[in-house]
Amino acid sequence: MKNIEKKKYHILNNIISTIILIVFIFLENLYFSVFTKSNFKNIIDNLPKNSYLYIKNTLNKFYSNDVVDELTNSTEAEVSISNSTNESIELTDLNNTFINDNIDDSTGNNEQLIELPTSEEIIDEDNFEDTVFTKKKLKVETVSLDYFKNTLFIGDSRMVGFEIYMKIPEAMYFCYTSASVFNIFENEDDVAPIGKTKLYDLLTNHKFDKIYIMLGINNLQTNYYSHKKQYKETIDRIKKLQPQAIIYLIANLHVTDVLDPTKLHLTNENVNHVNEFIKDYADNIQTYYLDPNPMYDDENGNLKLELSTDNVHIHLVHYDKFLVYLLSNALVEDESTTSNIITPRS
Amino acid sequence: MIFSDLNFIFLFLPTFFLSYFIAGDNFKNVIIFLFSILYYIFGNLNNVINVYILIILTIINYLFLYNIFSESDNRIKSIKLYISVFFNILVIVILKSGLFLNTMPAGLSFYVFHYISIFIDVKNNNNFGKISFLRFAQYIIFFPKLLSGPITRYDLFEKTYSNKDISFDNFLKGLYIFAIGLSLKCILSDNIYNIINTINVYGYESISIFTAWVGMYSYTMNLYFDFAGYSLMAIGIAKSIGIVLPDNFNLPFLSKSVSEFWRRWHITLGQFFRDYVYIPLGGHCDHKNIYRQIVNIVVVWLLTGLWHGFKINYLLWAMLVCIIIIMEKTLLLKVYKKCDIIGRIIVIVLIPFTFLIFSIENINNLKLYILKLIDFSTIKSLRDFESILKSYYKVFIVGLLFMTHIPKLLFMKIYNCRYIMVIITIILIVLSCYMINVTNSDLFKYFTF
Repeated sequence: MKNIEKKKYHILNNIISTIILIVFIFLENLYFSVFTKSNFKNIIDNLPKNSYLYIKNTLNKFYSNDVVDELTNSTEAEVSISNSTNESIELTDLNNTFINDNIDDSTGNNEQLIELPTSEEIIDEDNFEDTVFTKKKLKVETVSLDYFKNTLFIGDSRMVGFEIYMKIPEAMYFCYTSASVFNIFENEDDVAPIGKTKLYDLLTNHKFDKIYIMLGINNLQTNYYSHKKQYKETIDRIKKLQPQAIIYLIANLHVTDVLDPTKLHLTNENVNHVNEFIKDYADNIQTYYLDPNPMYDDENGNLKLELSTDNVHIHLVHYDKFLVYLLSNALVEDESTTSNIITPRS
Repeated sequence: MIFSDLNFIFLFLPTFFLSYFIAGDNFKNVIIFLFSILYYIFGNLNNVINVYILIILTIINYLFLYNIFSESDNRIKSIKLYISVFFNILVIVILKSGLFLNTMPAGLSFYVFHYISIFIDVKNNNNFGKISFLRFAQYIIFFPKLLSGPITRYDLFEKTYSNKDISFDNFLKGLYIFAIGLSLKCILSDNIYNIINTINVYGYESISIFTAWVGMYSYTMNLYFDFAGYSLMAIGIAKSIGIVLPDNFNLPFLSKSVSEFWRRWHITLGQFFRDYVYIPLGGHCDHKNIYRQIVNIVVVWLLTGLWHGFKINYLLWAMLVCIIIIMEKTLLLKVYKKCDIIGRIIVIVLIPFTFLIFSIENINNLKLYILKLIDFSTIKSLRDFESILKSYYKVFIVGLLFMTHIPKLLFMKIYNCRYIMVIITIILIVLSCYMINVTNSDLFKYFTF
């Protein structure tokens, strides 16, 4: 009798475990199919954000820049219509900014751009008037390390590399990994000799003579317009807080042509797009654009393979060139110069 | 699917345990077998060909086994054995060379070694009963050891597999071991990998002598905790279902000589080469013929290097270890007997150096790194070292601590206190899962071998 019961018990157990097995296979299948779908959904969701660059890059191969700009603007407008109300307002605004920029560019009058910095609209007029910069006469000169006295370096992990390679005692470094224009005012950093501080506090409590900024690489996958807008706002805010400082906007260093399958946005095409608007924001009055990329690039405009292990960060020893570049592109006051529009040496 | 995958921890493993413990005794093996196949399939969804290779090789090798088993003539049996072993070595060589596949099928080296092991055992031991295909497949595909061992001999596996010691106590103890293995991999190994990653970003030409030494020990710890963690997870899962798998690591850094170190590190691979290569070649039985011993050691280490991959750094690594072991056999062991601290120092200094060679594939980079280990001129600027120390000193110190026997002693003291162990297990699993989410937990290093 006991044996029969035991046998029944075993059969029941086997049936239950078979059912569990089937349910498990079903769940796994379901999970993987959902997972695949969610991946697909992510791509679809991000498509409008990235579509501008993709479309522009593709069209560039076939049409001239003017035609491409026209076409991509209309594409972006279409995207904004398909989005929710709030988003569409933001995108449309950004689009308008872009169109205005294009109009300025199309006139070919770069000086007009420099004399009327776009920051005017955002910065408090009175404070901005206090800027002594427009009256300064500057010239490019090769200087010694003393130049970095009372200097602030702001940047991401690539600037951290510079900090590690060359910690200039008189200078301060507000650099941390994953820094971007979206979080540079949010996060704290351990700044020697002060200790942990936020950028806002640092800029309000100290007066710097020069500020070097290299930001942008961590937002290559961010919406191009949001990034452009945020970059402008960040720089304007720094200008407002440090009206006396010469601000150097350093172009983002290129990456190698080896693509990381998990970071497909890390391409020099995207880096160049960001560098383009950084260059545009250099008013050559208070903000100046520096592009150290030619020192590190190969003939195709990619970071030389031998200079980096992870294809993004250059090895520390190669920051010696970077330092020399900064020293030989330093702006100093010049009594003899009449014009205040200066382009650093390439 | 790897053991440190959240899908494995929270979906696969609980379902497996549930099915396994509900199933009747005669159905448990079927559950293990089915889940083992599913485990390999889910782990190779992007490379389904790997699943076909495993299935086809298992069928072919069973035919080889059947042939060897049913042959009564010893001479022909030996010929059949040689053919089977040669076939399997050829398979490893072809698939590792990358001629046909871009990536080697996961666990290939390990399951092929299981084939070879069972052939030789069946040929040498006439007491083996008839092995059914299902049991052979269960031995090969048993999922806790399928991808990276421990390499288990068939007789030992059969003994534990047919007499499973299933109990709630064993289940819990298995989970403790699994949790410890998981935390070694996800909390220690993956964090220590960040040090290596940072050094790579700095570039070997940029680092100072101290960073180079920290990096050398980081490479060693990363490899150790990664593989020891994996082995513990495999042993833990098997223990939970009442199966005993052999230990793969036994505090190797406490060894008094490099020879002893290799008896405590990847124990089952060492035993495989000892039993199936070193001893058949003559081993160390002939004490008078030291040259013969040296040749045997060289053959074993040459095979060990090649087994890891056809790369120059693996060969250099194997040859360096081989030279140290030969020096110990001929000279150093006598010195160690008088003063064992010398042996310990050699283990602590030379073993990480050998693992450095093992880890850096590019020979130019390797040269550069080795030069940095003795580049005293870099002492002038230690900014890179300060930066690494500032970011990683905690994990580095904990890593060094876990290379000693102190954590194991503490663990053994509380091993039988169920409540404390359950709490620790939960904490370790939660922490590990958190680390899996925040860090880029990579594959286990030994999956590539």
